[in-house]
Formats: sequence, C-alpha cells, structure tokens
Amino acid sequence: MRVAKTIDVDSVVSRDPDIDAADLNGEIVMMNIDKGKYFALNEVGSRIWNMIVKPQKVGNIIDSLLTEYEIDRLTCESEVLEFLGRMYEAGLVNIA
Amino acid sequence: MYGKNKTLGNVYRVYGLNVASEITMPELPAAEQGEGCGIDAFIAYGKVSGDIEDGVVVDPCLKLSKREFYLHIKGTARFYVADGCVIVVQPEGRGDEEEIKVFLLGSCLGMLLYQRNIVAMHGGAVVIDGQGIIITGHTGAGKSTLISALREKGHKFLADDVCALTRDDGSNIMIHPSYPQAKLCRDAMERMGYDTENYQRTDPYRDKYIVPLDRFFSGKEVVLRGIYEIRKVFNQKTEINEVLGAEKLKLILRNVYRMEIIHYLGISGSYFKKCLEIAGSVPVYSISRPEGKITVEEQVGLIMDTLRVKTKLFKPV
Repeated sequence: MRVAKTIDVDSVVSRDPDIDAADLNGEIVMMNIDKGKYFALNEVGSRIWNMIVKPQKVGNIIDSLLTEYEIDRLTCESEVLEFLGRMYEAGLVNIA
Repeated sequence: MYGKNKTLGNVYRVYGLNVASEITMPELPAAEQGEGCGIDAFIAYGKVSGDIEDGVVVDPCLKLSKREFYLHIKGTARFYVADGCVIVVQPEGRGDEEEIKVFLLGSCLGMLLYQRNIVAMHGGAVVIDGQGIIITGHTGAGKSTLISALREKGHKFLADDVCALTRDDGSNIMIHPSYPQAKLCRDAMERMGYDTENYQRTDPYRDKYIVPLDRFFSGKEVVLRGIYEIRKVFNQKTEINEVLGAEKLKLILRNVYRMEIIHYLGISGSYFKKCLEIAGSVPVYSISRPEGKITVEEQVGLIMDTLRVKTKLFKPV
C-alpha cells in the first residue's frame, strides 16, 4: 500500500518505471497494470510526462510550463499539483 | 512437407503456429518442414470435465480463467483449451465434425491465442502492394463485402475473420495468415455470384456459408500498415478519417477477437502493452458508409488513397 504523500513545489516527481506508455499522435496513453485501468493524457499532461523522464522538481516543471503556455503562476501551480496528485494516486508517478 | 505425421497426425500452420491435430482439417494449410521449431499446440479428442480452476463461470456452458477455457455447445461437443497449447474435444449428440470445426477454428483457436498472449483482431487481412491491412468492425458492418471486393481486384487475403498479430525483431507488427476460407452471408454471396446451393453452412443457426478460396490466399506473414474499422452511419457520404490519440487504442481494444469473452478476465498488462505497441506503430482509420447503400467501390478507393499518400511521404523502412 502506498502511503498518501503530499506534493508541493519542492517535491521531486518521476515516472513509475513499471508503467508502459506510448505516444499516440502526441497523446500519452498508459496503463496501471494492477488496477487494470488505462489513462490518456491531454497535451499539457503529455508534456509533463515527457519532462519527468528524469526525476524533476515540481517547481521546475511549473517554471517550464509558464514559458510554454499563457497561464499565470498561481493557476499553473494549483493545476500541476492537482494533476500530479492524481497521477500519484493512480500509481503512475513516484514522489520523493 | 510433414503435413501428415505418423505420430502426431496432421500438422497445420495457422496464425503463425504449428498445430498437430487428431481431427483432420483439410481447410488448414499443412505446415512446411522447418517452419518454426516443433509443435506449438495440439488438438485431440478426449474427455472434457468442464472443471476450471479459479475461473469465471459465465454460464454452465462457458467458463474461463487466464489459462483455461471451457465451452459446451449442446448436441455438438464440449471443448477445453489450456495453457495456449492444448485443445481437447469431446463430441456429443450428432457431433457433426463440420460443426465442431467451426467452434474449433473460431472460439477455441481464438482463446488459444489469448492464452498465448497473442493479440488477435476480429477482421480480415488483405495484402495491397506488399502492405498488409486489416478490415475490422462489427458484425454486419460490411467487412466481408469489402474484403471480397479487394480479393476480386486481385489482392490476396491472409485472413477472413481473425488476424493474429505479433511484433517482429524491430518495430514492425506482423499479420499471420489464417486459412484459405471465407465465411459469407447469403446476400454477400448472391451479390458476388456464388450459388449458396454449392456451399456448406457454417452452422444451423445462421445463413452463412463456408467458401474455400485457395487461389486468393497468401500464406506468408506480412507487415501491418493500416487498420480500417468500417461502420454503418445514417449519412449520405462514404468517408474515411484517420483516428488519432487514445481513440486508436480504444478502436483496437473494441475489435479484439472474442473481447466479449476475454473481458470477463480483464486485460493483463502485457496484453495491453501489445495493443499499445500496435496503436503506436500503425495508422488507424475509420470508414463510415451510408446505411442501405452499396458503396464498396468508394471504400476501396479511399483505402487506396491512404496507402498511396503514405508511400509518397515516407519511404518504407
């Protein structure tokens, strides 16, 4: 069982190495084998997935997205944290 | 050729497997010597108890687990498929051999492929200028008519109902040949000028016939270059659209052969991974055709266009 962890901008996130994902025309699709569910990430989600090929600080992810998308820091931060929280709950990423 | 083997009975080549069978099936191509190494699966007469360990009982006639499958067709036979390598048949009642073969070649081999973790799609495969394509879709969507039309144009077919897919050493997905036979419904046959009187029915329940098509068949595996799902729509136009993103995967999953049975077990991670690999390396198209109109020539044209565009833009690897 995973112990619930809180994520903040100083957390380091990485892909769970057991997850198989494929890039289907820019949409990342993956499955959690234990749960038998599959997930499709939208454009921004896919961008984040590509960024965390190596462990990344959440703060760095947010900084990168701010340069790529027209969004203010507060909204970006809350959305990225929520997204990564859901990815973590689904067993797709690890948090340190 | 060792099509006839003294100790093993007949050895056939189907879906990329060498299958030794006690039941004679002249419709299957005989395995050539040296093809693969040895026997992959056996088909034999025997006693079938119907007990499945830790399985799902869909109903008393259909039980399955990850490694076992039991099917009882009353008045025909009980079937048992295990570990991707054994099929046991216990005939009963009339035990008509032709009817037994329908279930043997259909659901039983289909579940054998599933147990071997080989993705099999429901549909036909045709070779166009060396490129393998799969025509898939619901029963009645128009698969057979489209495949027949492609055959009539001189394109050889590898499969009429089930396409077994594996990945080669590189990133190519290969289609493995099925056998030189098509199942056609009466109206498709009449349209193509076959006299149903001369052909045997697949089973007593449907107006479908078994048509041997040896001279249209290609027994060589081929690289998969496109998956086309055909569906009927209330529209005036016949259209083709490329399917992108996660929809590709959904389309493949919903057209997996016998998904209506497999879904009771759920899909394993490695099976899913294979479907994902297919989605990642092959273009997928959706063909919509107007209900009640014959537009098969247009459909053929649209498929040809997709293959032409590709060969122009990308050099085959």
